[in-house]
Amino acid sequence: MVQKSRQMDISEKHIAAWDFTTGILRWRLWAYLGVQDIRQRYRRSSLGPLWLTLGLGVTILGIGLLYSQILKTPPGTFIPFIAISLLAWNFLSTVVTESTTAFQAGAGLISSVRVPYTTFVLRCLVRNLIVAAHCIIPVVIAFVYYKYPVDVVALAALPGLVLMLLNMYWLALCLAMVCLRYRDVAQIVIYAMQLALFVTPIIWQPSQLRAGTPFLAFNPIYHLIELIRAPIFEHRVPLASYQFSAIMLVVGGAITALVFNRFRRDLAYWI
Amino acid sequence: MSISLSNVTVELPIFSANARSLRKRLTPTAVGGSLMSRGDNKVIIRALNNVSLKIKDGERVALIGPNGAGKTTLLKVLSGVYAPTRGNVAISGEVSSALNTSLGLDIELTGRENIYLLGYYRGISRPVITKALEDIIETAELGQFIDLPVNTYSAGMQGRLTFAVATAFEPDILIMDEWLAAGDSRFVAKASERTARFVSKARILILASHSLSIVRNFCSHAAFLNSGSLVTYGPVEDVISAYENQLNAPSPPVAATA
Repeated sequence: MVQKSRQMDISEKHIAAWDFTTGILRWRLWAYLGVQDIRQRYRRSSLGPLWLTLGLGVTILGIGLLYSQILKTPPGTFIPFIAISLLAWNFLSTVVTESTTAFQAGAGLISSVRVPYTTFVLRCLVRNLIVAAHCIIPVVIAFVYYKYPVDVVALAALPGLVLMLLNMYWLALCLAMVCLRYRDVAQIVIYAMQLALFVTPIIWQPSQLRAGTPFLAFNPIYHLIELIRAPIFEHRVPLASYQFSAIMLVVGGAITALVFNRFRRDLAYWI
Repeated sequence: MSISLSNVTVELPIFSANARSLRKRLTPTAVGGSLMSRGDNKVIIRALNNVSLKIKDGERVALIGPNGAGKTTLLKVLSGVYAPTRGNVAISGEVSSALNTSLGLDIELTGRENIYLLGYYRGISRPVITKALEDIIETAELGQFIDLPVNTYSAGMQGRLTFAVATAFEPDILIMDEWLAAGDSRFVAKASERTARFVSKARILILASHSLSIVRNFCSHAAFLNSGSLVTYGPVEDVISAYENQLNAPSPPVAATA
């Protein structure tokens, strides 16, 4: 028998760093939890998360046909646009909303085992990535049906996705902490996301707005969505959005790391 | 392997509905005054008070004391769930804790899936868990139930599963709360034997229990806690008699009036 002996000092100053690294290294745990969340949704349900796929399909069709008339855009370009927009938006907004209760969802574990808290944020990301993977189907159908062209630039959506995920990681961790301490922030977040749906070019196209308007330039959700949408829909690498997202990652990530470092030890008491 | 606590104090903040609300936090400043009400309505419970304790290799320690004495809080500090408000905790060795049967388990999953889940919590890799699977199922005596969801299990069965997993991966330090008492006598005997084997390799066991027979059965040492303070620590029989003396001590005159 191999004798493992690891020094563990609970009053350690580096608990937050431990949490970040161990959280990621124990990938089996969050991957398993995320996958189980999805399996749970399939249980006793004939379609499970495929209901979301179907729901997205119907939404694309409904909003697409109506708004292409209101906004006087041909359905051939508008429906692929709305499809890719809603795919990115649904992922983003669900992660944000669910992150407000990410730690409460892990309360049982947090108060009984020494577990990295970042596990629960990663679990939320994994779960929603799987949901988003389900939702690619109607988007592909929309693009194929309208024969909307996609070229090699679309591959730029992959690094874009990575940048988006990194941003979602700090944002979700930050919201999970704040909402654990101040329960009504969760309500604020829900309303903020509702507002965001209207002020962000998701249903309407960014080209319908004057170029350089602050509504776009300083809208983080717009930039995060552009990381994925622009390469696929406009065949363009969104440099401005890359810059904005990178700055957001550095600043937001640093603030979150500082707050986490300060309050990691208190989180168990807030559950 | 060793555990050393020095002057550990744990204060649990109890958030009233008011302190949890951001609005209540903001309004006093927004209204521009009443610094008097700055108390945040925060109530603090001192769950552990200046506890110092050294536990050495091979000691099997029972935590005893009345309800609310701080036993579970101390277990949580030792498992790394709570960071102490003041004081120091130094633990060398790998800790496996099973504080609560229902909390670690996901009742929608089958017993088999839960074994993996509990293993992953402890940072154990899949092949290692798979290798231990047979041993765990046998120890837990779950038979065919292992492939049924845990919500079909009785409390005792859940306890057996948790116990089997907690002891399966040869941790250096094993921490258990009093749920063990939920098992039937046959299981307690089995658990006692497994624990004896476990501790024979100079490992540390820490167990909270109200059952003095379980304590005598499992433990070599005991720590007697009362309202958050450590009263005595030492060989199990000495501490139990101190505990019983205190229990039987004529408590304030109320009883004497008759």
